Amino acid sequence: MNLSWVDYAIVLVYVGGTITAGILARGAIKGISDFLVAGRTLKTHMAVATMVSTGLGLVTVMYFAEEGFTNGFAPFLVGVFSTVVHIIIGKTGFIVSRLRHLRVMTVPEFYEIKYNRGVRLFGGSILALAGVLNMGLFPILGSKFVIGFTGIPVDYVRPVMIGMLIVVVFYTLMGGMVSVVLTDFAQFILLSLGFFVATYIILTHPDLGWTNIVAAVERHRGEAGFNTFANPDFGWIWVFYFLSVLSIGIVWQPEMSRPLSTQNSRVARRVFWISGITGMGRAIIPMFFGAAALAYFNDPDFGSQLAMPTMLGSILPIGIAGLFLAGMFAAFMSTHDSYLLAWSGVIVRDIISPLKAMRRGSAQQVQEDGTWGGLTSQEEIYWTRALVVLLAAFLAVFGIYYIDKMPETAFKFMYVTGTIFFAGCVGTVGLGLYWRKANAVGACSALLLGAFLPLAFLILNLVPRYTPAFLRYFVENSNRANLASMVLAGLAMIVGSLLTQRTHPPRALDFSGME
Amino acid sequence: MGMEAWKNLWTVVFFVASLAFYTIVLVVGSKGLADFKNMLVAMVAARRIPPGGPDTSRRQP
Repeated sequence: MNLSWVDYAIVLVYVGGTITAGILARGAIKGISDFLVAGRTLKTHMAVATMVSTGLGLVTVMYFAEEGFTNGFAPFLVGVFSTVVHIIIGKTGFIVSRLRHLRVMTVPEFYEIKYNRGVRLFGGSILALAGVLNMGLFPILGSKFVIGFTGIPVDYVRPVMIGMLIVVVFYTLMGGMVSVVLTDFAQFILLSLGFFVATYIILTHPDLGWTNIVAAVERHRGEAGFNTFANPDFGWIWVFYFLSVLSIGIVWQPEMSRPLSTQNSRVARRVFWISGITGMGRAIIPMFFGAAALAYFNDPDFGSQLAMPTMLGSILPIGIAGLFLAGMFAAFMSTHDSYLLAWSGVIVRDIISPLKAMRRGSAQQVQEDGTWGGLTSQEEIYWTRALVVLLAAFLAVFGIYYIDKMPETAFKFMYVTGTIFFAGCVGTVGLGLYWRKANAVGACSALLLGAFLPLAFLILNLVPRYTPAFLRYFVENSNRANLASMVLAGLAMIVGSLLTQRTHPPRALDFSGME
Repeated sequence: MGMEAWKNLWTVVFFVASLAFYTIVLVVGSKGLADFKNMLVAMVAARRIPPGGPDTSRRQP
């Protein structure tokens, strides 16, 4: 065991404090908009803190560190692109301002406004599938961090994961988005402090330091450890894909729920560009930890996921290790509660509730309490809470099954699962908000074709002998499947809409008075 | 671009990224603390109010 009782005491105090906050937050929940978007009351600084925290979960640190261990400095470009695109979005308000102006809580709600209830149901189903799969490795990677960091035997990875999930589910059920915002802020401070101290210790450690880390990356990874374009995991196809996905990636519900929780469109835009400045650090600092682990162990065959936590558990002094672990546990809680809430919210509001509304034949318009004529506000909260529990149980089972079957790194898995939904959004949201000819037929075509290649990549890599020849090129490398799916989805929206303008006239959106 | 150029580029990027990250954390952390405190106070106040809303019949003289 690497940690002392002081370290464990720090973690326990933090967990106790957050659970108390969760219980307090329960009293602040009056309706579904309080539960899902904190009553749309967030000011700039709280919203930035909570958005940065969501983008800096324990799983993010783990998969970026794995990239640093596996590919050295080459993936640093991820952080640079992330910052540049977020600042552009924040300054221009691309997508985010218009969605905030329409006062939607989830992206599929926009589908009902722009297209119809059927598209909302279809889009909600694809978003939920993508979101739940994307989250599939979060708990197991979180548990691997704790195991590596504390030195607990690897055999305990499953019980540790289940224990961590129980704490998170309890906390999320208590306070919804209000409690999420509070943990996010605590995580923002704790984790940043932990990052700062860990970076300092790595840079001044006698066996590490910047020069030794650079030398280790060169020794073990060669040019591919520095040159992003010479690295087979990245290259030009990845560059085009990643820039496209970052531009449309703001529609990812856990991330989108933050700007949608702000006071108005102007605050939403500001939140984007301020949090965008931290994008480089959020990616590059954990990647640097991963590269440092490569130098520390001097063994490229050391487990890429366990290397970073094992190194940090060994080099951080007593007290600092506890602080760092509390920060990482806060990051685990913050990401899990955000994601659990986001995906269960999507399933309830965009699948269950529309189905009930269709059976009732109620009007396709938002009610005063933020519902759409299906479930009532209290029923939506009840179902959202029930789904949080069900999703957590699914994640535990999926993570244990899939962790050793991943065709590429965890970072690539996150993006290929996200693209199941992102690709369709190129047409449904990107063109839907800015092209007045976008209609329901184009939207369905975009969602369907956008999901096809990423799903084919995931399924056929589990059963490679069934891969048809025409799909082999895309199944070999997720970058190809992802980029092709985005192009296909955009084209599907354009062709589908243009061919059916008379039979399915597009709906106009009103953006007058938008800030 | 040669390997040495890539090394120099990533060295600069790492330090710029770290500086930008910690600067935003400092600014947002200090300014957001007041919002954080207000949310906690509001939550505690919300728990003290009974489900039917505040009791207006018991006004102070």
